[in-house]
Amino acid sequence: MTETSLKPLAWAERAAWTAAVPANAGALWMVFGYAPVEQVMGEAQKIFYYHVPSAVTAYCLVFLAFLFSALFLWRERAIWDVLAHASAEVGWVFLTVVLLTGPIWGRSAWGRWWVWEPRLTTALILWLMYTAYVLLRLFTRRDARSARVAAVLAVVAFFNVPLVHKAVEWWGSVVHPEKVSLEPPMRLTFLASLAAVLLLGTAFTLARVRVGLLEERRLARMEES
Amino acid sequence: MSGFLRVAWEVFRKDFREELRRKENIASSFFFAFLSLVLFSFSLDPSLVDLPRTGGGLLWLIVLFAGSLFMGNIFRKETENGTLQGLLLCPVDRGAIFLGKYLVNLLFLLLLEILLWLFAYLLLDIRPGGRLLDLAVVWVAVSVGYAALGTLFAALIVQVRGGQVIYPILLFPVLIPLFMAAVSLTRRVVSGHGVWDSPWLRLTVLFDILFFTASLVLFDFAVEE
Amino acid sequence: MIETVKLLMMDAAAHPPDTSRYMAAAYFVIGTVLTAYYLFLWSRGRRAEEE
Repeated sequence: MTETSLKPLAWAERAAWTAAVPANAGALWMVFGYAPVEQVMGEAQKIFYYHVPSAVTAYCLVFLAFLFSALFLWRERAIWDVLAHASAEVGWVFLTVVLLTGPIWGRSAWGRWWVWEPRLTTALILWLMYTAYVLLRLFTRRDARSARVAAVLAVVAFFNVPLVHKAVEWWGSVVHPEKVSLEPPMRLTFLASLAAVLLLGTAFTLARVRVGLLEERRLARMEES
Repeated sequence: MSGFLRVAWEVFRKDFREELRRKENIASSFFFAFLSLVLFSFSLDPSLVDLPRTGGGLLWLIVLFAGSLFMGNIFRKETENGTLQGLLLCPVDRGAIFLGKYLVNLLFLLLLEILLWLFAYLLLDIRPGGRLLDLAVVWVAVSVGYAALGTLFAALIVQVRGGQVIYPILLFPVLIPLFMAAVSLTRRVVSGHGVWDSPWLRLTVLFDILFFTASLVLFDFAVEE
Repeated sequence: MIETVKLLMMDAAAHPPDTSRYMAAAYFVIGTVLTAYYLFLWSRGRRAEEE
């Protein structure tokens, strides 16, 4: 792996940032300048435009972390581990964003910082599982064994996601289907911000992969000397 | 197949005997559970808390903590003696090793639950609402899943630096759906209802099947050198 | 309890509450978290390259 050039990756990363920056600038303009103010919640509702896409991005990354972890367990090539670690870590960052913006919105809309409603509770449990992953990787050496341990954790965590969904849904005894109907300008803004955040997630993940690979190389160099 | 079960039985028998001989793991875990029960009793205001009804959740919390104390150490004997590699080099299906250790953990959990509920009845008058059989079903259903992940994760942390400390951090988030089910089912039992028609029981069984299978398969990767 | 949320367009006669400081706080948090992570990655990348 030390022989492969990082140039294509660096190029992909640069492309992702080049797309992500104007996309987010445009999306933010739409959020603040174009999207109408919602009647019941006021401007705070606009948190939705980055809160939900962050959750979507996080879910995508969590799935990728599972995929790459499973691939690593199957064929122990370090690249899968680097990809798994990057996906899980960036996914965790976006989960953190969800958990921080959710309560701010909640405080504004419900008067309380936290309500044990299904979506937020699921996000919290997911966040706990992936914080465990991040901590594990922080505290362990960069070797094959630790990578395997992390991979098993990522697989188990992902298998747990549907069970968490179900459990949290029933826990709240009364299931409130949150029907959201968006007026066209809002829907447009949401699509824009969704695309923007997904691009941002992609850029961050590619960056994290590149850092991971650089660190692998540095480790290999240090071990040789 | 019979060879597989025979090996598992051997592992179980040997480990069970060793745990009884050493006593430190069993004794500390049981005592910790009892200590926690006493501490929880002090922390609650009996005039405000309906203990017979909410006590179930409390007790599962204790099972969670004391259980993880015991299970986290299930591979300690091998790591201390350096015999883990030897065990793994044996030409046996590693799943059989998992099963043997798993049964020790399962037995411990069931014993813990019986004793804990007994002392909870004596100290706090928490009763199983006349439905002892249903309570036993809950014990078994929850413990089957808990022991599976507990055993897998114990294998995972064997060579992780500071593994003992990180064990609960890794394990508990993943157990949350099971924990919710345990508490909900216990509440049903205590309030006099049966558990057989509860969706929580179905969730628990699903959790058990999923994670027993996953743990059996992933164990191999967890202990690989 | 969360009721059915219907997001409606602003009615000229309606007066939505002024919750702009929450919006500002949330977007500030998003920016801070992502910038912090970006800087973290940048410094790790630099350190890995030097050697």
